[in-house]
Amino acid sequence: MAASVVELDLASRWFPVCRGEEAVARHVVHTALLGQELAIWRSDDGSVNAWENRCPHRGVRLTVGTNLGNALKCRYHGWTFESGSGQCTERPAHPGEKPPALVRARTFPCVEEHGYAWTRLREDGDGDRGPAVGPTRPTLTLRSIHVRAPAAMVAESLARHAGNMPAVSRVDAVDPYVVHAVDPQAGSTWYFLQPVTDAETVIHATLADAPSPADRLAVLRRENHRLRAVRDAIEARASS
Amino acid sequence: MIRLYDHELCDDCYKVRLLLSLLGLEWKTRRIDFHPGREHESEWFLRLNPLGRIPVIEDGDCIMRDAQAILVYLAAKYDESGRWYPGRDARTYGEVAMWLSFAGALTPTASAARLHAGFAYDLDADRARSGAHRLFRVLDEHLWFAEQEGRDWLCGPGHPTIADIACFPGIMLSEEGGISRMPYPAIRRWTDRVKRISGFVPMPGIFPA
Repeated sequence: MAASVVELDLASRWFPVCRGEEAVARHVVHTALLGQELAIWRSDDGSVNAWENRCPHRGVRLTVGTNLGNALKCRYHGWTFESGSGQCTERPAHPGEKPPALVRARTFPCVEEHGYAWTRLREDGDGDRGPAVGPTRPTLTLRSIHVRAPAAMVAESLARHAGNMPAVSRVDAVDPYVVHAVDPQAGSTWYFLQPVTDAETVIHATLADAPSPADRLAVLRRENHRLRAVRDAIEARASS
Repeated sequence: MIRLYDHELCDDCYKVRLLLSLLGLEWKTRRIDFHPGREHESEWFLRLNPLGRIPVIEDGDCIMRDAQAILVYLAAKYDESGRWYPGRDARTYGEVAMWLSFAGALTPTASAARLHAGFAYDLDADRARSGAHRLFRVLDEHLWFAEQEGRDWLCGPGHPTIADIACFPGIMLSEEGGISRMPYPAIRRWTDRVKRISGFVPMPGIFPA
């Protein structure tokens, strides 16, 4: 495992922060990454924004604001920030006055890949376009599971639980935040961990082989049930 | 005209106001000094509701207590469309009752945590909060799979029912009790949908969509 390389700079690392299809139109998703609260929202043009969950005016959470389709409006004083740049375009208390260029929501880079919206906390780009590893074929993204335990404990438990499943031939802890369980018959499962805070993690899990449309719901329910059991075991350990 | 014994900040009273509005009904408000006056425990109010709780409605000679029961009554009596408490299909009928009961379980958990934080109620807030999180997990999962099946609401049919109205306020005010909804993305999408129902009215702490 090349853990040390990754751990050196968590802020440069891309993490999944929500299932892409859950960033629905005219909605603002509330999540966090490494303790940084995020407001995730899809613009009507299809692009996804990952912003600091804080209005630069008075600090109110942007997740209580309104997704106008091409801009996000803060609930408190109506300051409005455009998709993409985060630039403030309107301040209702100053009608007709162009907001200064410095007034903008803090934005993080955001890409959609493998069925998730990914972000990282380092704002300046280095040409890196998102997660390096993941499934290559059509996939089924499972219901993401919130766990009250630190990511390291979740990764370790997931690798152990996956390894105990009868058909699983190999478990790769790809790095501290990605676990890949290979099952020669049923295909493989990718687990991407989102460290929400030091004490909370979201497991984003993907089946590398999509089931037939007729089986889709049954598979989603079965895998959700399995992941929930893993979550309960991890939480029992984390709280003991 | 219907008279509602009401307090503006009470989540159970709000759900009655919300359904009254959605049904386009008119009503008169009798404000109860719930806090700090504890008027709901006064002798005159206990004659109306011996359980000493708001809301209560008076409609002609009918006196009805319990928020969930009031929603059932209003839907049965005034909803000519039959959509708010659909009774034709046995499964839907049962499911609505199931989620009304779930709404009742929010009272000693999510709502209790809010009473502790905002109204200085002496109770075990940690226990109330952890009870709320248990319920929220159940609800989030239910709503996630409903979405996967193409359903937007708590119960069967393709439209909201009194089950959605009954659960919404206690969920939506949870953050005042220190219960974050960040871990419950499907709940957050559903609350957006509730706010977009035609005729929706807000209350202090609950914003329109």
